[in-house]
Amino acid sequence: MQPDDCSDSDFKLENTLASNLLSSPKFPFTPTSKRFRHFHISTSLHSKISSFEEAVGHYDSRYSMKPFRVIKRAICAWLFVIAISTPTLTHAAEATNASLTLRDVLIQATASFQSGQYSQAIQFFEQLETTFGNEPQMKDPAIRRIILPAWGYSELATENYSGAIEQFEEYLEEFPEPGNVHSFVLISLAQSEHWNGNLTKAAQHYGEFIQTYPRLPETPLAALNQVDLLFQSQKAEEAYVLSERLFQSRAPGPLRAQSRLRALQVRLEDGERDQAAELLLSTEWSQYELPNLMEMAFAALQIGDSFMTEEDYHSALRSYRLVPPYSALLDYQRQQLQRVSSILGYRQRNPTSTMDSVWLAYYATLVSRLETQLEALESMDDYTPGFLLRYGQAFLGDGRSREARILFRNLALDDTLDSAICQQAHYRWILAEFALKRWDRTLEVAIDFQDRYPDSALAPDALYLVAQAHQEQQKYRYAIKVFDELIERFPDHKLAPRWLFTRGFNLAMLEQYEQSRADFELFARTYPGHPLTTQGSLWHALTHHFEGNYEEALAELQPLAESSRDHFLYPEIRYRIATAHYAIQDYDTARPEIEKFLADFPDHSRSPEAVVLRGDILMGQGELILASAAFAEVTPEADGLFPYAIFQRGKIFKALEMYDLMIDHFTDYLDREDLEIRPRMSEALYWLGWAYLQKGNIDAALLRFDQAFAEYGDDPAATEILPMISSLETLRSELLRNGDQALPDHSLFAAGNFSAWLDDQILLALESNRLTWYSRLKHFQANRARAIGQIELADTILQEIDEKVPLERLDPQVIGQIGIIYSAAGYQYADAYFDYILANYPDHPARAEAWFGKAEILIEEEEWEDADDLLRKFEQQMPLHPLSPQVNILRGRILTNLGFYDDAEKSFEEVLTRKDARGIPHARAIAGLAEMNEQRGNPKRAIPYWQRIYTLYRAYPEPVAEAYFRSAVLFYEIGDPTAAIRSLDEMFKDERLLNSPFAAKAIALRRELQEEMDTLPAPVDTPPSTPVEIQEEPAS
Amino acid sequence: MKRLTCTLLATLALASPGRAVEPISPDLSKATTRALLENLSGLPPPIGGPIPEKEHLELRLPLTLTIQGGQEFKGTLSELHEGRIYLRLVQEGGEVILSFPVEEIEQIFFPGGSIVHETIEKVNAGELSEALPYLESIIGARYAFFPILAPENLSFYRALPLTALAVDNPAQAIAYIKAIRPYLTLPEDQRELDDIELLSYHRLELTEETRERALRWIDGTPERFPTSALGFYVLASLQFEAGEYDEALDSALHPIVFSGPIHQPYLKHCYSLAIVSAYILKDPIELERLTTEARERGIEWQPQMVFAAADKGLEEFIITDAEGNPLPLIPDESTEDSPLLEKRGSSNHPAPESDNTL
Repeated sequence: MQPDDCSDSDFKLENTLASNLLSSPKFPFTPTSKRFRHFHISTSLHSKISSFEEAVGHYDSRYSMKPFRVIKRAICAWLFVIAISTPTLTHAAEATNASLTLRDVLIQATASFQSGQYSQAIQFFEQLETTFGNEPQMKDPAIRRIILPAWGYSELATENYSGAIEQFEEYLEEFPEPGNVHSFVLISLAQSEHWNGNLTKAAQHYGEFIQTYPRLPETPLAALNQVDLLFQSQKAEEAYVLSERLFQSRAPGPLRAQSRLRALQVRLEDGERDQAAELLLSTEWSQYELPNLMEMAFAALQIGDSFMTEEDYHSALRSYRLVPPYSALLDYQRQQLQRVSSILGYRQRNPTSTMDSVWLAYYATLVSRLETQLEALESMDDYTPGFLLRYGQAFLGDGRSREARILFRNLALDDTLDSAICQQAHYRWILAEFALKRWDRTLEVAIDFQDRYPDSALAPDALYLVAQAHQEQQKYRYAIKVFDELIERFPDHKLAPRWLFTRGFNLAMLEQYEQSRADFELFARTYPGHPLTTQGSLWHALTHHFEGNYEEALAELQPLAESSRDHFLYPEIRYRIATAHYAIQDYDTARPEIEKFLADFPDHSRSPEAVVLRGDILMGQGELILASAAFAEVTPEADGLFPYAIFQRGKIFKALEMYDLMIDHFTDYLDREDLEIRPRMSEALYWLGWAYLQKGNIDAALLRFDQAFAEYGDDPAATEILPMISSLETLRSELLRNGDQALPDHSLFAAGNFSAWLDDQILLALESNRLTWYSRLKHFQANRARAIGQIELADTILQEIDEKVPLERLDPQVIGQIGIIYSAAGYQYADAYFDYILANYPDHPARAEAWFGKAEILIEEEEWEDADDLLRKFEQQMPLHPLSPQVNILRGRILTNLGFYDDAEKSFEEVLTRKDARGIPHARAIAGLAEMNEQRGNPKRAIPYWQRIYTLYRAYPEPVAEAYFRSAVLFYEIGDPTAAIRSLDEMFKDERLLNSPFAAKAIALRRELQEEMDTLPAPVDTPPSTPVEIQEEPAS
Repeated sequence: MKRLTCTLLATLALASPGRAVEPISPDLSKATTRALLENLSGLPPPIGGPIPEKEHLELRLPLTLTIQGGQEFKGTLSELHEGRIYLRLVQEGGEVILSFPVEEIEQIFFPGGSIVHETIEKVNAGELSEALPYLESIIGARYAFFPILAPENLSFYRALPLTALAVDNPAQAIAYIKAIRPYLTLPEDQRELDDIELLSYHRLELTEETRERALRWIDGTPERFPTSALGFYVLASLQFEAGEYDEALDSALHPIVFSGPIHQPYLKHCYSLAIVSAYILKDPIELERLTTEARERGIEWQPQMVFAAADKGLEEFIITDAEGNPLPLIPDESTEDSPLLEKRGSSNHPAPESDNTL
């Protein structure tokens, strides 16, 4: 084949040659990997790289040189063809190199090139140029088309980039037509310019390549290189556009992802966090098999941290989600290195096109990069625990405390982690539990933290959380204990002022107002100017308010308001001033105060309450019409205040005897369609019926009652059903008593008596399976029995209800009553009844019975604090409940057992001030005082209390018997057996007392005392002990 | 053949793997199924029906046994006993049974390689019910050799319980797992068998066993970022069914917390369970965060039968796609079928190292 044959059809010939060479069984491969080796050597000498960023920073972006075997093979073949077809030249040029002919030089150039001896090949190419340059063969385009790329490549291989550039440019100038060699030369020129430091020119040549060969497989690679070079040449805007174009193209996923990652990294380096984050978060990285995941992961970490700093936790989480744990990243990186190395090896072994060298360079670079990164990754510390702490914090900040709890718990309990990490995680675990308002768990975890890390710098913070958890659980005494410890152990802690303040608050919640004020006073003295100063003063004033000392409260609130005009609590202080005036019935002052409050702070959170208060004040002033108008301003948005206002208006109309208005008012309320929740509807029906009765419209009244029974009688959540039944009883008896009018045509009047009507209704309710209604009617029966002293019958009726009606069909009030019967009988299962009420009717008045009953059970179990928590709630929320004297007594017993004697005394004394608690409750309160003094170690003070019982409450044998016995024991203890015997003998004289459980004990004691007395010498006129005298009221 | 003994044992009976007498029906009561599974040993009776006779016979042709030194013997298995294989060889005038110490056997070449190959293709193509009878026939011919085969060559059989599950016979799947688990000792095989077993118990609605296995599954997942969320999903689903919504939410959240850019199997199930639990628990923040996050992460909504068990109303619960179209709560005909078992890592079933040499 002659060279001329192919001069006009390069493509065809080159392809033919290439395919021939490709099919060659043993393709000579002589790698010239000097640059590649150099890279390896240089990286191996790298000092330990402590972080990935550093590794990326040291990345050498120049491609490693690899032989472009196919094109080389083609060139070798051409050179050989040229050489053997060149006749022996006898030319003047031979004078300068007499020993070599053109053909010889060509053959030697071919051999050197083929064997990878590029320096030598260059010499021969230069010799061809200098010695035979003027020969016509050397000017033949067909020969230059071959020699120039080979020479250029040889220069490139020996890192003489300017030489390579010269040859490649010359080629492109002489042969600008596109073709295989052209594409190879163009991309090699781009590489040469790149490595020669001419980044702009390199980018330009890559651009030309992309434009000339838009569909070659190498085009996206060229585009990636171009993007990279443009970024390096500070042409970021152009680079971003091209990067985005590449990302949106159909190029292979890894190349697209790398292009986007590069843009992201540059954005990040340039401080354009938001744009970087946009790129990070809008890319589904997992789709693309990103080879350098590590770079993306660290960019995500950096961006996540940056969002954390800005408290944008949601975005931080999204970024952190892209960060794999260290071990996973390490595995991934190793797998990627193995995968890319395999691809590189495969391509080296299996050349497929003239452009192989481009791919080889790409993969070789990638392998080097991955190796460097892996080395850096392996030498760095595991970032995962620290990262996970931040990740958990992001969950916490984003309001996802559940997730934070899971994560922190997982870290805290991982004993393979560093103790400092576990400690941090444990502390944040407490925070997460706290945020979830799981107080028991918060305490548990916080106490565990204390046990594990007693000397931790976080101990005070953890203890503070413990105290807060106690406070949230309304376990104020526990909270106070923790605050005591905090204040004592860490007096100089930055939170010490807050602890003191909060202890004062907790004391106020315990109604220990004096101690509470002492804390607020100490706070004001110790930390003047503290941000909580105004709060402290307000609470100090409020403790007076809570005690009912409104004058003192006002004396503090008024100057506080003057000095706190700019404080956010100023409206609150103003509101409190108005309520204090209202409480002392100074309505004339209260009214302008509250009206000014409403005018000044119409949008304050207290406004709905203030509107209601204004109504109450007006009622107090007797301005009932104005009050009604004030209550009419209260809207359903005011939640619980709205029904209150409705019923206050009803009360006003009732007081004014404006029954028509009352009827209209309650009818309107019942007919409202804009209420999502319709509270106290049955009660409204009751009052409506009542108003009709006052108007003498018996039929309408009965109609309304019937309506109420039909709509709400069988609804367990409905209230005021029993008063309605009671009204019917009253109505019936009144109408029958008057006897001067025709009786309405109603079953109530058809029955022989009210009891018969009740029995009929009970039967009907059972027949129609209206079990709730049935239980209410029976409950009514039980109450009637109780009212006439038939307690056992009442209890039996309630137990009958319990047998017939499932729990979920019972009125919570009935459930409570039944529960209390069982609880008094000592049945533990009573607890289930109370739990049912609290779980299903947490706001129902019957919760009072539930708290009471549960407290009784807890007291039996000596769970004093838990019982006290329930009873305190009872006292705060239901101060007027019929069970409240019993609650006071129980609380007194609890406080005695807990050693809070002063509080216990107050609780018992409270009962004694109540006239409605005369009789047994008073006797029990006095017994409580006696026991309290016994436990306090003051038997002399206890005895008179017992004496008081057996003196004043003789109508109640059981407490009297106990009082005799207990006083006898105490007399004996204080060394007065004679008085003891006297007490017992007096006891034995009352036969009723001999059936008491104390009788047997008393007899045993008497015998013991007698035996003791018999062994003693005769007494010498010893005066009896004189316990402290206590003035008593007579028993009712 | 220096230590090879040749013994004529004409009366030696062929040791066949123990099979239960009755096939396991999916219609059995829970109590019967439970009792049946507790007492099973060996391979259960096949349920997939017959394969063509020609293929059946091909699989049962004599195998070729190569011993150290390269000598080959062709015959059928007579017995595997005390470290020796007894091979029945047909020779002129009758049969001879040769015994070989197991440690001297270099290779066993089973017939029916092309059938195995086609079965693997069926499994990989998701044609599980079609693959089931073949797998049963293959294992029927080769199960007796399991004790002496390398576990690497047995991974293929973990497809068998999966195919039983595919024909809605989870009890059979469990029975297969019991039969093959002792021999498939590679960690990845054990993990997949655990997964299939858990799913099977869940399908059988044997709640106690499922809960126990789900907890064991979770305990046996030491890595912080689990490669599958299956155990958490199953546990959460049981808790949801029992009305333990708080616990269900916590269980479902665990893999959600510990999930990265690559979504592990059953993560979407956990998201759906967590979202519905948060709704029932009236936790609007959690509900909003999870819904938003699921969308942002491209996690598709997974309708689940267990949602029908919610004792509190889900009537007003509406979940929509990004375009606002409502999504079904409970799987219906319009719902795309989920894969039977969402697998960790590679989706294809492993093939034996060589098509027919095990």
